[in-house]
Amino acid sequence: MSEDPIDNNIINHDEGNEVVMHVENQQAKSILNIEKNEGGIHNTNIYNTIERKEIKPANKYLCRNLIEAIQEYSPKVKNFLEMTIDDSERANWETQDSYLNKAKDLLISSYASVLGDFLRKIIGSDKQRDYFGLSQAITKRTLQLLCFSFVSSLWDQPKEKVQQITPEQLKQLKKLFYTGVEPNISYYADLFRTLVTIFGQLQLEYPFEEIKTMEDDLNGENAFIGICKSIDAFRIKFGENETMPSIDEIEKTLTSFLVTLNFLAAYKMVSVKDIGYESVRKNSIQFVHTYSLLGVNKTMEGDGQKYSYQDTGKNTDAVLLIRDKYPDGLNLFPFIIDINALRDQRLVKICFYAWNDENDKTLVYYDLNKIPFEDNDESDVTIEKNKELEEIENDLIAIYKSSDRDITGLKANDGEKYKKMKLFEVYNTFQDAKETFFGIADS
Amino acid sequence: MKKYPFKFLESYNNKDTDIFFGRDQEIKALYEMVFQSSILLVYGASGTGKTSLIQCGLAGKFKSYDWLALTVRRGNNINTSLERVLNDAGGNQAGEEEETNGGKILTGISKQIRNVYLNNFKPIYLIFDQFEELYILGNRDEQDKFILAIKELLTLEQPVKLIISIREEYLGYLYDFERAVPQLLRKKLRVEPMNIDKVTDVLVGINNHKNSNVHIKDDEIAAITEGIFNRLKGAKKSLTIQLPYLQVFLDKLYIEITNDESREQDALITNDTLVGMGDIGDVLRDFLESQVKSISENKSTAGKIVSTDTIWKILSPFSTLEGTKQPILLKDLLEQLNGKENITETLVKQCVEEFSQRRILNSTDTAEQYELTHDTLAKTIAERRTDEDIALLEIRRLIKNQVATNENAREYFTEKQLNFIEPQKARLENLSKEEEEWIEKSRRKVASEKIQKEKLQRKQLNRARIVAGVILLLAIVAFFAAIDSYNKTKLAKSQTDLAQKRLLKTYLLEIERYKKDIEIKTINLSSFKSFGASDIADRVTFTIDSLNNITKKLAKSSDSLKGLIKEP
Repeated sequence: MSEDPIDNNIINHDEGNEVVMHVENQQAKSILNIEKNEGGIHNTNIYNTIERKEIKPANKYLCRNLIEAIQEYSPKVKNFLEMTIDDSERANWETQDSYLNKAKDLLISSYASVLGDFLRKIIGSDKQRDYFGLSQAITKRTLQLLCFSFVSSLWDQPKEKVQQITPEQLKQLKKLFYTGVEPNISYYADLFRTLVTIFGQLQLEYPFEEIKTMEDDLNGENAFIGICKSIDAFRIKFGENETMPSIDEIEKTLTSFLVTLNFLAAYKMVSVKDIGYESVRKNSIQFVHTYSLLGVNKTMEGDGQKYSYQDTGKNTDAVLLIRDKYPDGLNLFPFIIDINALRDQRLVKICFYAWNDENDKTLVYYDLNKIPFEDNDESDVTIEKNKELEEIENDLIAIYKSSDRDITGLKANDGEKYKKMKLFEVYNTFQDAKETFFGIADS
Repeated sequence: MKKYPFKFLESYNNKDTDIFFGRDQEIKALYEMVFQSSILLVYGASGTGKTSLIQCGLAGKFKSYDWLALTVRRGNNINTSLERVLNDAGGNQAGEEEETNGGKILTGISKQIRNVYLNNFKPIYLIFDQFEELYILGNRDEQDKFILAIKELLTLEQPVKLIISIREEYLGYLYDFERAVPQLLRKKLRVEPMNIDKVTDVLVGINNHKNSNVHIKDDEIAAITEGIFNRLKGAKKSLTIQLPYLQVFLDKLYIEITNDESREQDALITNDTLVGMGDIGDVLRDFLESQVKSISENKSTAGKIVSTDTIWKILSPFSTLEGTKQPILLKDLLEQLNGKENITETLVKQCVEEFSQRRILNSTDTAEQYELTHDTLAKTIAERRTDEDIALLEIRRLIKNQVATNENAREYFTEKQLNFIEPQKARLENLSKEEEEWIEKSRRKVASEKIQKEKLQRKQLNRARIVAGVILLLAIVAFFAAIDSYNKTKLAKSQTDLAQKRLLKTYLLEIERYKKDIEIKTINLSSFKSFGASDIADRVTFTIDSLNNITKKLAKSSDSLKGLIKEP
């Protein structure tokens, strides 16, 4: 440590202290928790003594390993690794900024899904606390994506198949639908394993065909589940004494997690904004699908909306997971929603189902910007079955019973009632899912 | 560590999130809009806090990995300013390979954006602050080029968002912009002046802030809020006040309570302290006037008085014609003021220093460039100008705008414009050589056009004269011809009359002859009758009667003819 009394400082902040430690050209492997009277450390920054600036997470390890893991799913990445990198620099190309930045960019664009957004955030983060929070968020949301995909696929199966789920397995699944708080990473990891087992038992096709490569591990050593649990253990430890793991540790575990799931680079996510209908006189029927791709680095001309003619319709307000063709996408609604689509807005704002307060008849969704350990509840989406929604429900019932099915009343005033009705559909669809699996719905 | 919570006239930035109150609804609305559009418009009256809302309120909602804000002010040209800002953020690094945007090679601004993104991997927020300057100070070329740049930006693959902040009275100028970029007005937020609820939020927020060195007596907050609000509202029947007035007032109140210019001491605001402030009047104008007076006294010595007029003259270049703030480089300020009575270079530099210390001026990002801390100060300065000063400024702008255009596309000053410029020419100091030359060229052009015009007019006049002469000649000829014709007609008529009279006389004579003839025949027949041819007596009588009738008719005709002959 530097002997300069000014350099090593404990700066008093309103909610705790900040320790400024100067180290010579290296990252600290662990952070000592130094407490003063008014609380623990909320933000420990490591400063390079020479340059006196905070060391950013470089993500070299993450980039190198992940980009090599996804090359089979991305021709651009393959091309970069084979053609762009000079042979003489192949051993440690990630130490060169020109290659590293390009690799980061490729990595982010290779995931045309929520993972792309998260990778962009974690690569762009320059504070340890943010890095830690993001690693937790990426892990949880990725596990949720896996679980929600399995649950959605299972929901689409014939009733007889669903009825073959064992009570033990059903009990574990039930926690997803009946929980007062958002389940933790360990729960989702266990649920994922259970769902894989269910699909194996019922001889159903996995929503991700690549899961077959994980079967042995999930049935045996559970290395993947072990990685998930160590990431969750970081959270627990931080909750107990506010000790964060080092950036190195976070990076390595997160890399292991993402490398195991490298096949996710082959999957796109799409938000279906609108389905139109065209049929002029004797011309054949065409459906005009309006949708937006998720992820980063996609052309934003026309606010990034795409349009295509399809022979069939699709679930509206769907968030689709697609491997190859758009029409074959798996609908993840209502577990993953695009709140902008429901509010008739452009661009995409993805929210993940978080928890369901049975008593209050409330569904809560978190958007991608919600990071653990931060007070940022304002962007949470809460769908509550309140009086207003009940009235809309009654209106709808009456409309369906009427001969003309006139919904002008719902669409008036810029369609405010209609938008609320759309939110209500989220709630109703969620109840349908519950009923499918557990034979129970909210009354 | 205790913090002074008032920012006076400066904008709040992302370091002030803990002392930024009263705009929660607006922040929430703006934050939502960010996820619904790539381009947002924030507008409102001057001084409503648009800049603070974006740079502090909105910025505070984002984590550092989700927010890379690059603020662009027009400066001398918005396009070069944009380029400079992007370069400063790392946009000008050379790439080793050609970058593409969906198959297109990246150049210019697209390449800069990509480089900035690759250096940071954060969404880029381009904040165009005081956007009305593009329309107040810019020209058509600049605006068109800027619109093209924006259209390009909105197609890029990298995450870029644009936030445009503009005074609401300039919204109409966005017509062409919206035509080119239809999504411009899709998501917009009006920042309204402060109503009493928002003022309450500000005071409650400050009071509850743990590290604030200003507190308000808890049980008097409502009364104090109302007191402040009513004082600032004055006699106006308004439900809102201007935010800068509130900021200046609260600062003034603090100084009244503590007398501490360093603003470190604790202060407790009570109703009594508020009442002690007395009448407020126009807080900002009073503030500025008092500062000008103070500086004038400060700079005056026994031997030399520096009047307040002189100080106002030094301040004037910082305000545009429209009363908005105008950033100026120190060297340009010295140039503009060079040669003015009682204004030396030393005095200007000293005043700029004083203005900065008294928070009337801020230095901008550009070295040695200064601007007023707030638009409302600019308005106050503009209102003090005389008609002559305004005319001079209008002329300066006219000259500057004209000369700013490329010479190939530049228009000459019209005669009307030159007539406008000429009386003020002596007062127009420090025109550049190019400007002087262009005025001279315009003068020559106008003079030459005038001469050409005169020549043309003379030619036309001559032509007209010739034509008139010919017409006159023809008219005279026609006149004489007409008279001749008339005479001939008259002669012909009189000859005709004469002939007619002769004819009538001939008829008359003929009639007399017939009458005599009939008379003779009548006599003869009467005689014949008397000789007793009784079988033909009736026939003879009849013939005699007929002849008598004819005689009567002839007599009538004769009378008529006599009448005709007698007629003149």
